[in-house]
Amino acid sequence: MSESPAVQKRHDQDSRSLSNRKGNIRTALVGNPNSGKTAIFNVMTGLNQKVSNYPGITVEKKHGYCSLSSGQRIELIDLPGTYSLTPESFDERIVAEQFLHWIHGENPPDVIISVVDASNLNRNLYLTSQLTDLGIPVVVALNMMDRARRKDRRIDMSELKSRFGLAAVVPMTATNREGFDELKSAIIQAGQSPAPDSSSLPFAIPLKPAEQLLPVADFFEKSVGYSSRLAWAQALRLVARSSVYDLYASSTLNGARLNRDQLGDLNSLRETAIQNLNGEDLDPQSLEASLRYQWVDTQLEESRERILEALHGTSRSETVDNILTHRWSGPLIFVSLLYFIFQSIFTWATVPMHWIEAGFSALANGTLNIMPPGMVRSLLVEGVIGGVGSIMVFLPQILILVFFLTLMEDSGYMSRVAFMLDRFMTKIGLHGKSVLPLMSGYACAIPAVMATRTINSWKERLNTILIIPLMSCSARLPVYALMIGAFIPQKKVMGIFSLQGLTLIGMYFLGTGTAIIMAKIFSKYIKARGESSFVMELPPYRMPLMRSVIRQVYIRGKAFVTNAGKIILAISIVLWFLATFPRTDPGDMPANSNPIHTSFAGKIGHTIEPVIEPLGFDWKIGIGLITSFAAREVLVSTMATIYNVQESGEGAVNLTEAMRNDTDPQTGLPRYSPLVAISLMVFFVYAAQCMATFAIVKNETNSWKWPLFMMAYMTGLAYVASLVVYQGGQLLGFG
Amino acid sequence: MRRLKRYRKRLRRNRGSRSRVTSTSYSDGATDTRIANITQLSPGDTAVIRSTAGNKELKARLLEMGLLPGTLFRFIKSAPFQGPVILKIRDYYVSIRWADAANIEVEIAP
Repeated sequence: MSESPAVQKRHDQDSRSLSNRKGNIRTALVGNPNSGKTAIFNVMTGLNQKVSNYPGITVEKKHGYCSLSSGQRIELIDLPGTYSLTPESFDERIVAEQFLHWIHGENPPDVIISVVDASNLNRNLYLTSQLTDLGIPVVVALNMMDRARRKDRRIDMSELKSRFGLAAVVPMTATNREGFDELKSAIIQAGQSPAPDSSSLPFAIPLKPAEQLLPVADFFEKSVGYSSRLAWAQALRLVARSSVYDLYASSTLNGARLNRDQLGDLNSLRETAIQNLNGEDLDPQSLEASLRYQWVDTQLEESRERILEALHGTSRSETVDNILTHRWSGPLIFVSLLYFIFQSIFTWATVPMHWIEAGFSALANGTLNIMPPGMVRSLLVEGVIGGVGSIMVFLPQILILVFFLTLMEDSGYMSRVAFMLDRFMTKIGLHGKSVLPLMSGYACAIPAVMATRTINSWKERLNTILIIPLMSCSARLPVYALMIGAFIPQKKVMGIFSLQGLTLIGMYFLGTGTAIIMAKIFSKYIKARGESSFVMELPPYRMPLMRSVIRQVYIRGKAFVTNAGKIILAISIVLWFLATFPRTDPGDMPANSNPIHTSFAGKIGHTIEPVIEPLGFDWKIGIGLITSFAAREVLVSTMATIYNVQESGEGAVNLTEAMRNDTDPQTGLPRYSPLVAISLMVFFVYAAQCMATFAIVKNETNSWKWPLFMMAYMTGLAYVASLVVYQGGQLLGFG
Repeated sequence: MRRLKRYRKRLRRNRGSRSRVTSTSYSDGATDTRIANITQLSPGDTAVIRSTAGNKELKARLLEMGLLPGTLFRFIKSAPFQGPVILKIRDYYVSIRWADAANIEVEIAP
């Protein structure tokens, strides 16, 4: 094995130096899941990344800057949480991959901020000690000091600093914004301080395993140019998990560091080492973990008494869990909670919805009064205000839904739901960790699909992704709400339940129930890669921080409004043109007919009408089905625009009234019945109408196969289910 | 009828696993330590991890999270129908699937 000058050179070139970076200090936040990296990131950068009380809420890399009074800037990278540098799930792989890039001299940070949960030292410091192997100064942000203090846990900061070879230890509580000034000055100082000792690992590897690992460590040191400490650390990891070798392999494929020959050498060295270790009855997987944990435990000098005391102390969380995760009351509470949330979406939102409706109606009438009649006024009132306004009405409902979901996550309840449902989830081919993605699917499929990254088995992750779009997302809510509000009578069932609320819950149940069935079916056909397991930390319950809950609700609300502002506005305008042109002189029209039929939109709608007629849909809904492919809620604005153009010049149309009063010109009967409304809602429960979801599924599964499959199965389901509902309903004499 | 069969099967399985709980006396004879797997513990039991068998990935994951041989922990509870178990270990609570926990052999502290 010869020395590789190219690798060596690049390594030197990119080595850490402050002067050539224009005063920017590059830092990376690394830590265990749920240790508070993102909370620190948000306070430092003033950005609004999602923080929560659920392990693994950050599943991608995020960048931000923090300006200092000196004019310098701290660049921050927020990485997903991980327990170690030997990755298992996809989000952990992101961190390990990032590390390999740094090791190989690709933009390494000047300082690593290791975020440590002070109330849980040993496990957090295990990762910290791995970080110090890199030869980059490490600042420990000792977060959640409030919790450690409450547990009466005393920590000697200077001991910690010297024993672990850290640049600084900063006690802080990110949620109270405590300790940030200290952290910033520690980062500045660390940026100028020397790197940690890189001559050897802090712990000794016993002779026998060391002998077997020597060739691997030698290879890393001589051929790749690692420091001695890093070489041994990587050797330990390489034999522990095959994923570490895979990282080397994929980084080669991406045109970087190791060439093919070197990679081949590495693989054969690895296999020999594993074989020899096994031959000596030494377990290669547990080597690093046991040596390092032993070392960490020794450094912390915890007495058996303290450990036992800590184990037997019943925390508040445990007391709460006696009820919330109790074998019988636990699931019962969960189901009632869901019912409460969906019921409140309908009841609490009514008042603000009326305000918004009244506001837009006043706006439309005002515009009608101010502007002279003509094309521009018509476009504004019928296209813009009518289209966008019809969607904005549903903002309160979406905010309420997001509010409750955020509360469940931030309080720490969501991981308990994963615990309670893992058994059921595995029965249907999913995973306990599928619960959070599926629940967030009620808000929006896009973050939900990304959240599946924490599921460590590919089969269950893919299965979860495939059924997420069946969870009724908030974009369907406007469609359901419109149809229910217009066609489902306001009656009470059994005295207490409102029929409208029950219908809504029914739609959610239909989607969720079908998701369960589909998951069971898919699990029979998706091939497994590796075995599945469920190990999940249950974070302590925490009073949700209103600041962060409100921020989360605000972010979703803003996204919804901007979405309405962009896609819906654009589609409403285009649609207005299509529905208005070509203009036909009303004199040339047969009586009882409207020029909209001969417009472009009318022609398109009438063309597809035969296909959707068996489902009970007419040409107007047909246009809506096409436009709603951009986003589901567009159906509502489409219907609004069409009715506005149809009733042109008579002020803003109330969509609910318009749909209720729409009559078939030939028969004189109402065009839409409750049966049509249900058929349409069922169609929307299943139909694959969201471009953005397909883009993200393509991205996450890295193929076209799965998004196309998803589209096919969902469209098929939608058509068949609606057909059954409408035709079956007619046979039974409804509608 | 089928349900009865299934019930009998479960009963047999349970009996089988119980019998694996063996008593060992150490040379000093003073302490009596029971060896079991995690799923056989009762709520409130304190035990020490002895070894982890089975799935490689799982083993590595458990080690990284600090579930090493020699580590003390307390068994909190398990979800019904052989759902996951909850342990308190190293100042935190962790939930492990029943089948995975069955691979972890422990020694119950006297």
